[in-house]
Amino acid sequence: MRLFLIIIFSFISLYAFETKNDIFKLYQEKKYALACRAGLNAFNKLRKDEEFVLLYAFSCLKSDNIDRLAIPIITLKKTKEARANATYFSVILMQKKILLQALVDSYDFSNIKLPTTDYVLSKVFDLYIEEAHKVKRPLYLFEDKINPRLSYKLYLINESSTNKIVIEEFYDTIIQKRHIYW
Amino acid sequence: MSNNIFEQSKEVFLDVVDAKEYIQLDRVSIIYNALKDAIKKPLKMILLYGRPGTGKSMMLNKLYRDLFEHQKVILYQTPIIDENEFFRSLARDVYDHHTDNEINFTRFNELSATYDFDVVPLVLLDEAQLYAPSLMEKIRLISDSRKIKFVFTLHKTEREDLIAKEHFKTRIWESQELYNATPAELKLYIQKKLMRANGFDVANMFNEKNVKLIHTLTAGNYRETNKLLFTLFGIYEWYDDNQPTKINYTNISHKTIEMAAIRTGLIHA
Amino acid sequence: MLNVLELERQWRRYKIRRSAPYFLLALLFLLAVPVFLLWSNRSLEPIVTAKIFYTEKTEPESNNITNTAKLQEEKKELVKSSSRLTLPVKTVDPQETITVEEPELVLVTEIPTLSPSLGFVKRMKNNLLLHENDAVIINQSTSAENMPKDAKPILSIPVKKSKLLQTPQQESVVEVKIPTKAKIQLKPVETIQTLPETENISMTSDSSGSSDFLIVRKYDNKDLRDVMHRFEKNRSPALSLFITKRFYALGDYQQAYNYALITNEIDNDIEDSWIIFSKSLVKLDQKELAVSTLKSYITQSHSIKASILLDDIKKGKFK
Repeated sequence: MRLFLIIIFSFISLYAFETKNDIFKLYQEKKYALACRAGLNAFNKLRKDEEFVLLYAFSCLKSDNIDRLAIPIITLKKTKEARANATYFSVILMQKKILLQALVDSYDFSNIKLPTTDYVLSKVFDLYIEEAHKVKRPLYLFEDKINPRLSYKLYLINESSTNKIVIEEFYDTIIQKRHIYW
Repeated sequence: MSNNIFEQSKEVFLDVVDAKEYIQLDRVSIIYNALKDAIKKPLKMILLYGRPGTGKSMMLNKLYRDLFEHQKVILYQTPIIDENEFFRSLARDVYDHHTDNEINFTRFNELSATYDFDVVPLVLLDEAQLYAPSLMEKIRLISDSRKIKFVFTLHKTEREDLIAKEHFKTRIWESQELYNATPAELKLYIQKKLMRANGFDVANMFNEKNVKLIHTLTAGNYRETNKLLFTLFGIYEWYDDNQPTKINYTNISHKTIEMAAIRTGLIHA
Repeated sequence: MLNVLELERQWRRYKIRRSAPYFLLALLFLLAVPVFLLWSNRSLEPIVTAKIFYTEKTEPESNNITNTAKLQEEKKELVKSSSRLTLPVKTVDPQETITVEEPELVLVTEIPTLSPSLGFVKRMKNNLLLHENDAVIINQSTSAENMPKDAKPILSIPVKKSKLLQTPQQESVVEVKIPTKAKIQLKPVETIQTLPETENISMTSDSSGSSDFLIVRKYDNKDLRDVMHRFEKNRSPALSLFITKRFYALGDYQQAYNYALITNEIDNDIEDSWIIFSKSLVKLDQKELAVSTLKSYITQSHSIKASILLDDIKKGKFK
């Protein structure tokens, strides 16, 4: 009986390891969306492995799946790195929610003071809070404070009766990337 | 029945000096015994002083009652102001010398020289502060002759103290102070008085708290206490007749005590 | 004669008179306590916030723009030096007068930016190297079957060793950004073009437009790969310029654009980079963008070459 359990456990561990490595490979290939999806499938199995959770979280972050950061935020607590990253994710998630409410419901968050991150959503959030509360517009254009060549476009769209935030990154008027959050 | 108990109690607290109603309290008893001992000593004069209502007259009365069977003792509860009248009374009461003539100081001394007693006659003078200073001097001189022993009572006022010291400081004399009662003593006093008159139920109505209130109002003064309780029971008598439901038979109410105090002038309402 | 009812009345009056001072005292106390509390709260707040504001007012007086830039510089420094979380704070504008606002705990002068801690990637990589053999390495192959349809152009050429892959764990934030920006989303991306083995190069002098000769060149692009590897390690604009020129020459206008962009970022004064940048845009059907880019560059640099190119583009000589 014991032997059987050991075998089963080893097999599962191996399998788990295999899955984690696969996800890591996807991450390294910058296939963040795939890595995020794979991580979601394997999450229950590997949730206790903080490295895996971090990998999954970063994959989802880079593929703009901010909502999927919620569970990693809760689970990451054992190491210093994990806790730091949990804070990082939680700030981004909070900023997304606040931004959504501010844009959809025209809620005035002008006096809010939050930490910020280097993530694009955070940058746009900071710019929005600083400037946009003065005038309400259907579309906002912000210039990056560090690099004036960078600019961001912020607007709302409505897809399948869901309000979604769109952030477009521009370099010298050339679109770099489009992020959609909801 | 209830009418009786309050009426009875009221009678108990009539403010009269009656040695029969003397209540033995420990501290007072000590003083009394000291006084009795002092009389036995070859002292010429004894001074009993204290605030009004502390029981000086009562004690003097009791002393008289205790001693008159054993020796010659005269009690003058009210002072005889006139000198001649004073000596005449003294001659009559001490030496049984009756005369219609005036007796002055010299004559009295002549008279007293002719008599000799085994035990020196004792003269108790209450309210001695009312005697004129010249008479007080003469009394002092009589006491110097050791023919008569005097016991004075004085009110404890500054003026009296001064007189006492000036007149008597060179004489061998003894003084005793009487004090107001402590709350405990007051409670004992009240209850003993009531129980002597078979007012056990009423005596039980007095507890630490209401006696404390009485003590606060009367400062422990026996006379004031007598007056207050006399009025108190008068009020209870009235309630008993008119509004018996208002009476609480377990305890004397503070309200009634305060009402009695307003009536007797202890509280200025 | 005892008038008990009158006595009762007198007693009630006496009671009221006696308890009146106590009621007054109690009332005073009840009023005094909240007043005192309010007063003490108000008097405390300004002290606390004012004190904190005072300790923070260390920045010199300057205009907003330079101050902001300075702040951003400091932010960058912070980010570079550590990835530790620091407490969120309010940015103090030195020109702001010290006013008492709603009380808030303010600790440092600026809001530091949180950055991700990516040490785990390194560890995982090491673990991966330990646990797998060289054969099980991701071959980011050029074959179309393996590439998903929405794959974006990746800078690095497929390599055999995993360490040469672009890994997410970058030491500084800046380094991460550059490759990301190089991606364009102009069209759905096709597969990476393979580098041809031979190339017919027509060496043309752009300015003179005279004698042209044909050189048939045979090469295996190894040098390009080498330069690209070197560029990964050493971000030299010269290297990226070489790469961009080569890609352009090879007809890979997308990559040429990418590397031209990178070159311009590193050093925006390289004329050739801007030329190739604009040319690549034209080749990628972004004529308007090319024109606008050139125009802005010309305004800055007054480059003759750029003006000529602009002219050519406008006239349709260069397409």
